[in-house]
Amino acid sequence: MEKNSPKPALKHPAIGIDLGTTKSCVGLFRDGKVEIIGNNQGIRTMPSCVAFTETGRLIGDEAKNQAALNAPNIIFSAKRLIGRTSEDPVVQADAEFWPFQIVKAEGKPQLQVSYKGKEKVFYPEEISAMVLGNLKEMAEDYLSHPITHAIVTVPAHFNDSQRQATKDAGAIAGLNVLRILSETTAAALAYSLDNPSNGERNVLIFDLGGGTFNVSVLTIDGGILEVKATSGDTHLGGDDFDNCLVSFFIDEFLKKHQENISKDRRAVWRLRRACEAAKRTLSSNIKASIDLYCLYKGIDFHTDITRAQFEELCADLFRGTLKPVERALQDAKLSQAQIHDVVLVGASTRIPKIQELLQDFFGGRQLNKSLNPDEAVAYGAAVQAAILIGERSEVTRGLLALDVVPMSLGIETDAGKMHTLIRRNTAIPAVVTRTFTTFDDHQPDLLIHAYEGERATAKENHLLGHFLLKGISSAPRGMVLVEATFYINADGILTVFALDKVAGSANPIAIDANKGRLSKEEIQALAVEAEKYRAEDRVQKWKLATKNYLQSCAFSVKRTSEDILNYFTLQAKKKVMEKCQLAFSWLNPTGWLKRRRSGPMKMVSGNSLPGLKRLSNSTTGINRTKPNKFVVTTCSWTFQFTQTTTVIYP
Amino acid sequence: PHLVCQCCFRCRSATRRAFSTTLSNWSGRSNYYDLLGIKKDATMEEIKQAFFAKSKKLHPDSDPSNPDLHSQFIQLNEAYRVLSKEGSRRLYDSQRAWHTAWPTAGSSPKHSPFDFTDLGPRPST
Repeated sequence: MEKNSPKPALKHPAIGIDLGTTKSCVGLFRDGKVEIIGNNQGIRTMPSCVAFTETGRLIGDEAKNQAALNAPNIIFSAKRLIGRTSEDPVVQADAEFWPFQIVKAEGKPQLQVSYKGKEKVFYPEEISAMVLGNLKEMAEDYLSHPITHAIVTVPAHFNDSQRQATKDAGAIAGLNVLRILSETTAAALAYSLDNPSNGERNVLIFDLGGGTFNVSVLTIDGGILEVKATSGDTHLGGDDFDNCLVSFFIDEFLKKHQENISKDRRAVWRLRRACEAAKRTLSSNIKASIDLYCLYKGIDFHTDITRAQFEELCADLFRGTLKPVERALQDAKLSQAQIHDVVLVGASTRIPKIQELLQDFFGGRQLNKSLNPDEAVAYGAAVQAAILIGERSEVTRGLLALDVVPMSLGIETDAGKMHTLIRRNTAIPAVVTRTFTTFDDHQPDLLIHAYEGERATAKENHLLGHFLLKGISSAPRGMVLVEATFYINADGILTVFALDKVAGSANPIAIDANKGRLSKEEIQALAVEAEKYRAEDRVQKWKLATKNYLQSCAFSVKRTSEDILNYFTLQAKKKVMEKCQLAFSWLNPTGWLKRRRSGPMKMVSGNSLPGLKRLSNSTTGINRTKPNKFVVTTCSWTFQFTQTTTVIYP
Repeated sequence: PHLVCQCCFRCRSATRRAFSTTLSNWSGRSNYYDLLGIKKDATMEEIKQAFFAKSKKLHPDSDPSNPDLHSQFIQLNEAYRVLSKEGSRRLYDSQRAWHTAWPTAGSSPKHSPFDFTDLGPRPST
C-alpha cells in the first residue's frame, strides 16, 4: 500500500462504499479527486466474503482463499439474503447452491457457521457489517484517521426492506450511513465527472455486477443528474452465470463418472471457484479449461468449455438483461435513439455476448466503456460523500443527483386492490398524503397494509409492513376520514403515518412496523457484538505478530550463534541451540493451538543498547525464565547493538 | 378489506383522484407556480429549468447542515411532479381556477376536496 503523504486530514472524512454481492470497494474523496483504497497488498476490490475458522474470523481475500476444507464456514453473497425473508423463493433457490447452512429465525434467514469450535448463527446484516467494518479499517489504515461517516450503495432496484437492512448493517459496523445511494446513480456521478458537458445528455447506465443488475436512465444537465427511470433485477449477475456453469459441470461429472457430487459441499465449492475462473477466462479467450484434482471420491475432473457453450448455457439470462433496459426506456419516455451514451458498469459487463446484445439493441452504437467497471460505483459514492459532508471543491460544486423511488408504494384498499400513493420513478425525498375512509359502519379499527410493487392486486406485491389504527371514532361507513402519509426519505426508505382526521390530531400514529426488521435494541446489541469480534480479531492479529516475532528472534539467535561460532565454546553453542529448539517446538502449530486458549499474551519491550558489547553466551540466546516467559537476547553479528525481548504468555 | 380510498366514492378517474388529494395538501399554503418561480404560461422546458435551478438551492444535499431544506425540497418536488406532466398540469390549472372562485372548498377536511361537483356524483357502493 502506498503510504499516505502528509496531507492534512479532513475533519470528518466520509468514505464511499460499494457493497457488492461478490466484491466490495471503498473510495475516498480528497484534494479534488477520488482515491480508491487498496488493501495492504494493493488490491482495490475485496471479495464480500467472511470465513470462520477454529482460530478466528477472516474477511476478504483471506476468506475467499480459505481451503475448500472450510467450505461450509465461508459466507459469501450475504447481499442476496439481506432484507429478505426466509420464505422468499429466491432465498430457497439460492440455498441449494451455497455451501453454508441457512437457518430460519422468526421468518428471517440466518447463517449458521462453526466459529472457534462453536455453532454460531449470524444475520445477513452482521455478515455485511463485517465486510463494511473491514473496508472501514482499510480506509482508516490508509488515512491514519478514524472514519465514522460513509455512503453505502445498493442496487437501484433494492426495495425498502433491503435498503433498511443495508443501513442497519452500516450501523452494526459502527458507521454512520449518511446516505443509501443507488449504484447506478453513483456510477452516473462518476460518469458526469469524467465527461463534463454543458448540453443536456440522456445516459443509460447498464450495471451488471456479481449478483444484481440495474439499469437507470438519467438526464445530465449542467451538473444536475436527474434519474428518469430505473429498473433492474436484484437477482441477476455473475453469480447466476457461475451457477449455470456449476450445474452444467455437475451433470457432466454425472455422465462421465456416474457420481453425483452435488451433495458434497467441498467439491461443489471447488467446482464453483473453477467455474468462476473459467467464466473470466471466457471473456477474453474462446476456450477455458477446468482441471480439478481429486474432485470427488478420488476422481480427477478435467474438462473444457468454449465461449459458445457458455453463451448457450446462459442465453436466457443474457437476453433477460434487455427487458429491464426496455422498461427503463419506456418509463423515461425515451427511444433508443434519444440516448446519447450507454455506459457499462459492473464486472459482468466484460462478457462479450452481453455487450453484443446491448449493442444490437441500440442499433450497433458504440458502448461507453470508459469507466472502470469494478470501481466506478465506489468512485461515485465517494463523490456523493464529499457532497454530503459539505466538501468545498471545484469538482463537486454544483453536482447534484436527483434520485427516484424504484418501486411504486401504496396500501391495500377494498377488495385487496393496491392503491398507489407514490408512483415509481418519483423523485425523492417526497411526501404524499391521501385520505381514506372505513368500509363498514362503526368500524372500531383499521388495519393498514403498506405494499410496494406494480401489480394491481396488493397481495401480489411485496408487503412492507402493517399497522393497526385503533380507537377510531364510531361513525357510519364513509364518514371517518383517515389520513395516510407516506414519507420517503433521500435513502429511499419509507415511513408511514396515519391520522384519524375526525378525531383530530389527538392520535397521530407514526409507523415503523417494517416486517422482519431488526429493532433498534437488536442493532445496538449486534453493534456491541461486532465490536467484540473486531477486538478478538485484533488480539488474534497481535498474537500472530508476536508469535512471528519470537520465531524470527529465535532464528536470528540461531543464525548468529552459528555464524560467530569462533567466539563460543562448543558447550555454549549447544546450550543456545537447545534453547532455540525449545522455542521452535513451543511455536509449532499444534503446540501453538493448544496454548492459544490459555489467554492473551503480552510482549514486553524491545530495548536496544547502542554500542559495542562483548559477546558471551549470556548475551545471545533465549532464556526460558518461567514456563510461560521467554527472554530473547539477540545480537547482530556486527556487534552494533543488543536487543532484548521478553515474550510472556500468561 | 378495512379500507377504502375516500376519493373512490366520488371520482373514478385515477388522475383526478391522485390530483384531488394533492390539491388538498398544498393548495392552501402555496401555489406551485410561485414555488417554482415561473409564470402561468411557462413552457415545459422552462418548468424543468426552474426546477433544476431551484433544486440546486433547495435540495437537502446542497447544504446538509440546513434541515429546513428537506421540507422545502419536498414541496418543490411536489410542484414539479404536478406541473411537469401536461395532464396533471391542466387539471391543476382548472381546479386552481375553481378554488380561487370558491376559496372555502379546500379548507375543511369534511368537504375538501371531494365535494367538487364537477367530479360526478358519488356512486352507490
